[in-house]
Amino acid sequence: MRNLILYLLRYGSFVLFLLLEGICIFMLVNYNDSQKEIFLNSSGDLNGRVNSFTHRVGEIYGAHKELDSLATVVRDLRTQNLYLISLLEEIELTDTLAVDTSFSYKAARVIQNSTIKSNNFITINKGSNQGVYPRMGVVTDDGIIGVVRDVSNNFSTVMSILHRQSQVSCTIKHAAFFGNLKWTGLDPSVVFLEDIPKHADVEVGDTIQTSGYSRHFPVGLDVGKVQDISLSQGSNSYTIQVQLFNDMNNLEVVYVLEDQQAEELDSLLIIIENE
Amino acid sequence: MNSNTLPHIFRFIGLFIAQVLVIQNIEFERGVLSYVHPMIYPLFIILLPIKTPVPLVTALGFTMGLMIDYLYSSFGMHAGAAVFVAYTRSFVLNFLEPRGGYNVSYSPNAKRYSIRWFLQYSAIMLFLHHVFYFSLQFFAPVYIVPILLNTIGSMIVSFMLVAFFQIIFDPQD
Repeated sequence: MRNLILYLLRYGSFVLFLLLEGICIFMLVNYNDSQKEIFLNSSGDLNGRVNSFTHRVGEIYGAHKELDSLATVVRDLRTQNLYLISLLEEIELTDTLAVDTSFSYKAARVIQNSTIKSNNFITINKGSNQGVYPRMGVVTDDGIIGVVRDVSNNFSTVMSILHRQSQVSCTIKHAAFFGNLKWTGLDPSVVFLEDIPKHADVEVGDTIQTSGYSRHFPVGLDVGKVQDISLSQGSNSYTIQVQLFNDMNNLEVVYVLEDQQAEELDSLLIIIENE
Repeated sequence: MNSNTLPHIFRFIGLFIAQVLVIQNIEFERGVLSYVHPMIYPLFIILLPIKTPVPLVTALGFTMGLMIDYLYSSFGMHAGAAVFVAYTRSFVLNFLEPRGGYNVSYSPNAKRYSIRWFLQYSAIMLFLHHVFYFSLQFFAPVYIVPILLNTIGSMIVSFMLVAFFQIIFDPQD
């Protein structure tokens, strides 16, 4: 107690100064509008920042609890999803909304996939017993995957786009030009569209769609997005780098397309060749 | 209440009246002159005897500033600046201590110590007062340029007035 009084006496004048100055500033902020505004503005700002910081700290703490319940929800949804897919596999869908109504869709599940080899194949769980035959196109919701190569009774191998022999005829949306979509075997996320003449009006970001000229796929299916356009010296056509819309590493459910008009067209082609 | 404090009481009243009745009505609106706001009441604090205890100086500064505030309608600006100057007076006096030391019963005026010393002392005090006053007036660091301009403009005139006071009144102890 005595020390406290000694301290007060020693710093008494400073304390008095602070006290009186505090009274002055209090009066200043309360009774003068511009000072009041500036004071309230900065104190409100400081208040807001402190509050948002403490709120964020609280949020992080609460997020842990949320994660557990979300994990359960995701698990339930996954099981439900698999059940629904198994229901779909029993049904054959006819696509009445697409431009080309001559294709029917059959759902299948991917059992084997690869993207890192220079020639990649995908195995699906439908075969000749379920009505899958070679040269049928295979797609997902996002884009195209490949063409069926070989079939067994209950399984098929699909030659993926990421195969050096794969060739799909594609066009640029809103333009009349078409070319061949090929893969060089190097980068699994990028394929090249060739044979687009250099007077074509192409820009980065344009959508690439199937042209329908190779009868594996109907016309108007989205394939990918133009990522880069380059013109090699002395050539008349662009080499367009396309980023595929679907992620070839993450394939689960695919649809096998059956072309109802394939027989008719094939018979026409045979007549032409025989002439 | 003896003859020693009488001059100080006169200075208190005199400077107060001069500030609020005369100087308050001198207002310039345009150009460079709009930054001129002379304030001579700090002279009262400047001329208090050296031996006055610091709390008393602070309290007297507060009183003077508060009364000026009342008539200037500025609620706290003059009082704040006056308290600040009153408190720092002891530090300034320490800093400016002449070689022989102070004779503490007397006030720091030109007769006791050289006029040059007095002008230095009053210049420092006036500067501190004006800077603090205008900082309180604008209240935000973004206004640093107006604060400095006002300080310099007002300082010049205030300092001239202090010099006149010195010449005319020649304050004794």
